[in-house]
Amino acid sequence: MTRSVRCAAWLAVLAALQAAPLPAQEIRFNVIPYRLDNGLKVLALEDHSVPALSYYTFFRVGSRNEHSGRTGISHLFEHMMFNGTKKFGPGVFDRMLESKGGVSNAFTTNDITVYYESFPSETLDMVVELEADRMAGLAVTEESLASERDVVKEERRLRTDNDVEGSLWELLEGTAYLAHPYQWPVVGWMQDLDAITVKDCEEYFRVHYAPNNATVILVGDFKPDRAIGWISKAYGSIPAQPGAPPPVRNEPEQKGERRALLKRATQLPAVAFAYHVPAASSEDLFALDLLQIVLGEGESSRLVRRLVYEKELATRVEVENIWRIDPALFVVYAEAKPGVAPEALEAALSAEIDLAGRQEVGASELQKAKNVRTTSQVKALKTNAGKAEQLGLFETYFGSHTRLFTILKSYDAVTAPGVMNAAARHLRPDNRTVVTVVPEESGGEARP
Amino acid sequence: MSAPVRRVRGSRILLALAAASCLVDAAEAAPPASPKPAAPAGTAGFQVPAPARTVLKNGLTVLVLERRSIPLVQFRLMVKAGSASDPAGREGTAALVARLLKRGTKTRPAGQYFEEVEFVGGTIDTAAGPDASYAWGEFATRDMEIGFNLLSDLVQNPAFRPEDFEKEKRLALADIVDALDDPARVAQKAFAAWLYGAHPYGRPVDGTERSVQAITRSDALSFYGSRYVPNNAVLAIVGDVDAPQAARSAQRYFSAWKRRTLAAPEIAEAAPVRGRKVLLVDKPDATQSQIRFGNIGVRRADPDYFPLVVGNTVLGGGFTSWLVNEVRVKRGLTYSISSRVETLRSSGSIFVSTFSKNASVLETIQVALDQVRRLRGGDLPPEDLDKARSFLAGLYPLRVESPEDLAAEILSVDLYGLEPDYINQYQKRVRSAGADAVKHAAARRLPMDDLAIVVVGPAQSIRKDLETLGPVTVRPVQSALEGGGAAPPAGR
Repeated sequence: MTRSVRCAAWLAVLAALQAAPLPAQEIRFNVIPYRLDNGLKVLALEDHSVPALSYYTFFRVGSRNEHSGRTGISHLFEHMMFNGTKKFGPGVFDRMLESKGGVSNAFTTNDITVYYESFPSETLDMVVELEADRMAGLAVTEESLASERDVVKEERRLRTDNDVEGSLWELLEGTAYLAHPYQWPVVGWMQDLDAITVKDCEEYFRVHYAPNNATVILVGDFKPDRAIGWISKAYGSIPAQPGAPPPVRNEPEQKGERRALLKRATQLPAVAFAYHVPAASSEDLFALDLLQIVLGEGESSRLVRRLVYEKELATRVEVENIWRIDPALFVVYAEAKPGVAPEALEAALSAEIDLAGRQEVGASELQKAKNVRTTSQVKALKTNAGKAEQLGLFETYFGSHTRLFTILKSYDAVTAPGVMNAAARHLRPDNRTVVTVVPEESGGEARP
Repeated sequence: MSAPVRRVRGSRILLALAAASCLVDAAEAAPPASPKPAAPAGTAGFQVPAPARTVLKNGLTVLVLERRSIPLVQFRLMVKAGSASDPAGREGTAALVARLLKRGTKTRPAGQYFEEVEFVGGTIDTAAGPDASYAWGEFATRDMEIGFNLLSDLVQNPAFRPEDFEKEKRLALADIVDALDDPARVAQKAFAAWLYGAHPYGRPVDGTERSVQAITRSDALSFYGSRYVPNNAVLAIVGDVDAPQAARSAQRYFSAWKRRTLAAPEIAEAAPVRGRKVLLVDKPDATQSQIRFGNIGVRRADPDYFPLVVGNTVLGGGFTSWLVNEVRVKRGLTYSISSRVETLRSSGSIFVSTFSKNASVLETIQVALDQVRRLRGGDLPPEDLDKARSFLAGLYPLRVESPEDLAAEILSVDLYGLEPDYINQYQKRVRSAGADAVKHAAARRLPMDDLAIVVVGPAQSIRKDLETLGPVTVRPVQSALEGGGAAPPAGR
């Protein structure tokens, strides 16, 4: 795609950012989709802005696909994917990539596991070979598993055990879900990490790391015909696998508020609410995303303005409407200012959320939320890596990357009553879990 | 937001890029007259055109760089005064002034100001660092004039209303308290204090509870009045703009800003630590300890800089460094380890950053020090050297891919007084760091026997181990940052 064509597409987005009523808005990239015979999906997008490209591999597997007693295997396995194959020994993947000036990393969520590399253009054939090779045959040894298990335990200590907010999230999700696998942390329980065996890893790999469960996305400076040729050759012989049945959507409806306390050696109390909301594929997503912006995105959002600046109850407020494959959570989190009791903070949060369900947002406030959503979507597409990640996420949550091109219209269609109704329907006390962080003395001095 | 997946709940690494880069703030600047398009031909041909440079009558330097592929404009204004210019005893002044800029202008109360920013989906933020303060924003191309208008108002006409001053001070104090719960942040701040002592770079940028309490509104006004002057500032604009048009807008919106004489702040060189000294910040409940150790490094203009960056990459940059191999991969002692060369206007630092469960803190430090010893001793396999150079050079275009990163790079070229074509010379400089120069820089500059060491963890279980490294000073978290230099000499 030429540069001028890309600019034209962007101009369409711009028109949407004009203040008043939004005209039709559009994001469009010339993404070329392919599918190999073994089911591997490939999305290719040329962009010659920088002499480099990003290569993403999305596997549709995450902690959602795990079982009790083996939690954390998705994430531990993500680490194992860097520990060598039959063809390339441990560490070779990173060494080869870094010696060409590339970087690689990966992340695991409840729903997906994503591997990515960014590297100079001339390195693409090597990356295709390395990625295909580890999809074809990973070598999991007792030794590499033992060492990686220790690394992951350090990661858990870092992000959860020694991090107040991390601990709070674990308790919040663990309390909000009774049945669904979203109840356990992505990083897994410490004891489960100890229990995972080489055999578990091999079985996990066979079932979930099949080409028919993966999407490869490349964005940047490459020639599509050549790239697809390399990909077909490198991945073509990897056999498809019968997929594992997806987890059952077994979470019962919540029939009343749930509460939990987290006692920690912390400086300040904090409060979090989690409300059950539908899966990302639901039509409610758009109203809830805009509600998230109205409540908590930016200095002029309701909770930041009122709780942080006007009432001075909180140091920090965060609101998240989480996108998930299965029914998800809408989370409101606030940290108390020194001297503020968690009860006062909770009451103020509740009052604002209650108001959102009783009163329509103003026309200008709604328009602001739509404008914020539009620019944030554009901003997420600034780099090759950003584009690749967004394409993959849309593929994951909406079944097709092309939803990225129409999504802004869905936000545009949301009305003020729509936002109010979504708040009234989902952000109810009977549908929420409240977790309060209570400071506990620990040898250091406690604060009032 | 934008696809708000709560993610990276467990990704493979935390500090990969920061570690890899060492150069967290490289940069770019002016001359080469003829703008060349970015060459899509492999990184060997990587070229960024020179930004168009204008100096307004009031002394404000304006740098504009066109990046037309995304309909966004990035503004980044740098005032060359940061926490190192804080008055003694009033540490945190620069940071508080930066926060106060967001609390409304003479014609727009804070609430109205951010309504205007956010109504068009724009963002504006501010922050102070050790050497400079920044105000930056991002707007859709179409709203560029709105962005100019709002940013220029914030910088030139902040209201500093007494009630907003008091309120913001309370928030700043609350944030300082809040940060005590983050062991990594405590470690980083405590390391600066422990390493630099009474030197201005030893001050926490945000100040301490005591120092922020002491700041008055007139301190803030005085800092603002004397430091936020156009002849001490640079405005970078990067994105989907027409350079001449953006320069004209800058002229229109910023020309009323009054030039003032100002005494150039001279920041003295910091004295390196001699011998080893350990600060143990006691966190009785921690099951994992944060670790930092290092010493004073080099200035950016030092001839050792590039060789040292390359050597440091062999030691602790990226995912295949010696530190990662020995500490993480072979022994599973940590999830992340890196060593960094950080440069500032005056003395920078070079340090290793990691964490481990309490029982293996000492082993982690010892294994890491073994790697430092090895590199200092000149053991540098050619393939490791080649890999480090290629890694740094190849990664560079990605590090300036986004408009905000490019804008930051342009500003740091100015701040550090680097060669004007720095961005386009970077890859060559890295690739031409020869084995002898790297070995020489490593032997001279990598700290081993002279070390400031900071560990944040439970004193009861790790103090004995740490005493094998040198004299240990124990402090509670709440006073970890108070006067690093004035510390009593190592109570055992």
